Amino acid sequence: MAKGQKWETRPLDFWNKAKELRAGWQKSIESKEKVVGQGNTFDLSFDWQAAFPAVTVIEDNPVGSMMQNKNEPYARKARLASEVRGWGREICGYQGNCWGAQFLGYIDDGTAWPDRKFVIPMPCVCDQHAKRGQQARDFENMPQWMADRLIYFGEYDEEREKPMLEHKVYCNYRIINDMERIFGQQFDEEECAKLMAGSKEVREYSREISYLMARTIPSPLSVKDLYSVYTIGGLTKIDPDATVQFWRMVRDEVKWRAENQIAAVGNEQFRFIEAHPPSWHYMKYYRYLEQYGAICLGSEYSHGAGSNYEVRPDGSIGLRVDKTYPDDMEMTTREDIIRVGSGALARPAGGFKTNEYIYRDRIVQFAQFMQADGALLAIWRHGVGCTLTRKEQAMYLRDAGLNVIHYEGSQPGDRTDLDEKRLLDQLDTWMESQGLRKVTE
Amino acid sequence: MITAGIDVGIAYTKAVVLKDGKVAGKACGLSGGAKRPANVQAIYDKALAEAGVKAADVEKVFATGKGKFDVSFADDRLTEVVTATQAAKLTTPKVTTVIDAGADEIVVGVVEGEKINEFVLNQKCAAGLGLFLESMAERFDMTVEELGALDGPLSVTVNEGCVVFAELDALSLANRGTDLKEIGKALNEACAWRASMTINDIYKQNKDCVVIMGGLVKNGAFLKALERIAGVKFVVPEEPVYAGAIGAASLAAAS
Amino acid sequence: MDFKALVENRHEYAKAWKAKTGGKVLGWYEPYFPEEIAYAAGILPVRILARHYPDDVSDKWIYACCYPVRDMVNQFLKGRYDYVDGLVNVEGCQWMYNSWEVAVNNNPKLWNHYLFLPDHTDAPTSKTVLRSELNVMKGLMEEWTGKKITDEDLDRSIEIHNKNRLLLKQISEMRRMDRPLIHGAEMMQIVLASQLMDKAEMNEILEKFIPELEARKPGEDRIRLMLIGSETWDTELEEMVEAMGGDIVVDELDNGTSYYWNNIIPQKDRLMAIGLRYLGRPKNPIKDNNWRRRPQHIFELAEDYNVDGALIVKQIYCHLHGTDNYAVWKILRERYIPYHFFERDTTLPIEDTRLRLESFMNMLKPGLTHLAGWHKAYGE
Repeated sequence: MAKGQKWETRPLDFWNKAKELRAGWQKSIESKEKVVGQGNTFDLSFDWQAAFPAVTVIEDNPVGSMMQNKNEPYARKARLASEVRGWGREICGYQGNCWGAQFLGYIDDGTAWPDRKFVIPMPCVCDQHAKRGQQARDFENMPQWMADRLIYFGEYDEEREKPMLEHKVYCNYRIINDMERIFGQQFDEEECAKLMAGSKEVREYSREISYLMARTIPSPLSVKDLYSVYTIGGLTKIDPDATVQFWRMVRDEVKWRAENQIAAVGNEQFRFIEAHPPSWHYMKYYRYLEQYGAICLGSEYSHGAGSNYEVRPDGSIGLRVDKTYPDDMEMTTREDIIRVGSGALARPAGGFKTNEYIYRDRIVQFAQFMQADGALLAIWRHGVGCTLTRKEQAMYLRDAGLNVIHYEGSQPGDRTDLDEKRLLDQLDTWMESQGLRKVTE
Repeated sequence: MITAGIDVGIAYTKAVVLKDGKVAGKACGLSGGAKRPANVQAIYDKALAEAGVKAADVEKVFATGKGKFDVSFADDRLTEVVTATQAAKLTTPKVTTVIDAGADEIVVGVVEGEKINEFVLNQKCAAGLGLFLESMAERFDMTVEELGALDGPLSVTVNEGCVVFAELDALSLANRGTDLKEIGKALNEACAWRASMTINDIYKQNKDCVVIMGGLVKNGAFLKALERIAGVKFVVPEEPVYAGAIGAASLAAAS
Repeated sequence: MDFKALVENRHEYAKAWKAKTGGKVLGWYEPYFPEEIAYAAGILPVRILARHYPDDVSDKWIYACCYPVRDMVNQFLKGRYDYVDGLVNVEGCQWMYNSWEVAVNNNPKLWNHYLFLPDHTDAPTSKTVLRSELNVMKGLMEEWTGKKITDEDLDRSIEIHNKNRLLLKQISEMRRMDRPLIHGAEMMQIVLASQLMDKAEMNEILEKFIPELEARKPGEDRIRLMLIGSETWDTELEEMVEAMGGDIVVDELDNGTSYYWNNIIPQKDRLMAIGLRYLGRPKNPIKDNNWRRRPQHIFELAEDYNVDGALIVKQIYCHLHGTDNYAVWKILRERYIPYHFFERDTTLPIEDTRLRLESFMNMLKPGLTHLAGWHKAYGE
């Protein structure tokens, strides 16, 4: 792109709708009539809990990062409450915040710690995720289930897939059945099928948005914008129909912006990617870099956990087409529904900790997909999944011609080790070393 | 043409006045924490006096270093890697890698012609090696120079990954009656390993001509150990401590 | 037998083994690696151990992990494992994974394999998944070595490994005594040597060693301690404890009791038998996530070995033990078992650690009846 070129930019229409939906979510978890649980079965790629008449789910990760974001003294207090009980300082900040909050008995705004009735930890995408259900269970003596994130290296292998798929279906089936038995709620299979269709539609919108961000110059949307709506329907669970409508609205607006060259950053001249979540408590650096005309397009994490795009055998990169069960497949039993909901592949098509490619080729493919010039890779002292192989990925990106830097912090939900001043200094160095200077208008 | 460069480090501030590409005046003093803006002015005034020029004669002042925003009168502010690279190029045009080893930070940049291909800053765990050695010298009742003269075969070692553990190790050894000079050698060696880690953090290394500058260069034992561990023969510029300021002044002249 | 020397000379041992047999050496990382299958293929499985070597290379490859993981990277990049023909890792600690991955990426000629062993160890389908994955690994090892692994090979390997675990447990029994015949440091060296040597050869050594051990005279009364926490692959800590009049009489470590605690129950389906042993072994933190079994197991060991107190020593940046600590502290508190927790890194600061150990043991001492000679009531 030509240096110094300027494009029109304008505010996003979907912004206020997102705000409204987030407020609705907050209300829903405060509802006393619902069975509130923690966690999600990552194996079920749809909003399964809505198939129960009165079940809702809260995730640790957004709750923990909101504590850090909204109330630093509280978050420190919560982490201290967890540390004095034995948890190491190196555990994930999301969890340090939440586990400490359990003992404090209240959350960052002073309201009571939400009472939870069950817990389903997200299986081993990160070691910390695999372990995060236990504490909730220990604390409130509630039912806990477990599942696995199934991986193997190399090409897809039908023989290996078979037992793994059975394992996945078994774990999901067991959770649904136990939920019915324990909470006396009837799982609505018909509703479940509807939810799956809705989820599929949202996934398609999400992929389209990724594609438009990646392939359009100037990009119609930065990841800063995306993150403000990112959790809706996923980590911030709302009404399934409203989720579909909302994502259709986002897609339509992004498409229109792309067609009309409405830029997210009016002076876009440097495109960069990240890896995994940003420091949720300090997203100022996105705007800071925009002064240099640098736009962040996100990470594999922010684009369907790396599953929104694929590299085709001819080397071209496009939207991912998943292997799925046939659309007209008959779903008569609960097992059929759960089987379809569990996906046609045991090993996730994209996402972290899928196979070796995520750590080697895939980060480079992602950079190519995004037409990126550089990468800003956070390395976190706490947790593990957010930092795993991050140093090595920088080498592959450098080989591919990207200009890469790292910055250090504690964890996306813990600001202890993030030296904001040092980060901005580093960003200046990053930009200046490439001859870029801040644009003052 | 007269320009000036001021490098405001965490520990020391260095000011240089450049007259037609030559150092006409220079001064160095403690940065002074909260008093930094005043100290910066005083050090700059000293450099001006040595050069025999007035502030008004200076066409441009560029600042660099951690405290560059305390130079209220600067025309521009640049990051350390840019000024260090410029300084290295002035004395050693063939430079391929530049290292600025200061009190609180080590910056390494790989240079190719006009471009900085890659740079790394030390990780937070390796921050403050210079300050650490200074504080250990004080604790052992030595001067920084005395500590820097302690090299030779090691009889003891201390943790090279973390200065907190290194300090614990050093104090344990002292408590058990180990000769402080032996512990001093171990401290220099451990810091050299940690600094070497930062140098090795560069992905596409080019060690053909490595210029090192910054306050840590004054510690001879550290430098010698680092050369051995990193397997590099360093080029030390004539004014290693003033290099950042010289680079800034030179870039001011070129702007 | 000088087991410490065996461990220290591990590289020379493996090189000599290769020269003698012409076989392949396979490095393994995670304690859930089923050595039995590799051994049946005629491979020498050796555990990749961390040591304290000065490190100036690992930062480039890996960030913010415990020192053992950093040191493994360091050692590989410095060529200390250049005799290894292959590397295998098992689903487990992700930093360990990263360390394995760096080594593999830096040595593309190495044979490598990643074995998926379910983190959810309890579902009926967990067993079939593992069996299937073991079969895949077996096939790949056959391809690599050019040797078909028969049922007989597996039977022989299972027998040798079961025997090894049995011998280790037999030795461990001598730590249960009021005045143990073997102390913690030596025991750990024995376990480490077992992870490094040809098991059949190790078994012979142990069989000869046991009568020697039984002939030892019990030493003085000691404060009986248990060691819990991240793996430590040197015995500096154990030696310090012993020098101060204590003894690690039992541990709950992957290179301690967990390595030999349970055996394979033979069945016709050999791979299933092997899989069940690993799914059913004492859990380490990453595999103990469906239900909490570790705290209970720790308590049982503490009772069984009549410990006076426990040392919980975590490597800095060990996220898994950092996550489990709460539950371990809790059960020890509930059962009134005194404990002392501290973190360690590359080095063990002598004074700091000595102060901790001495203070803890001084705190325990006044209340210990066996130190007043009461054990004699049991007829020792």
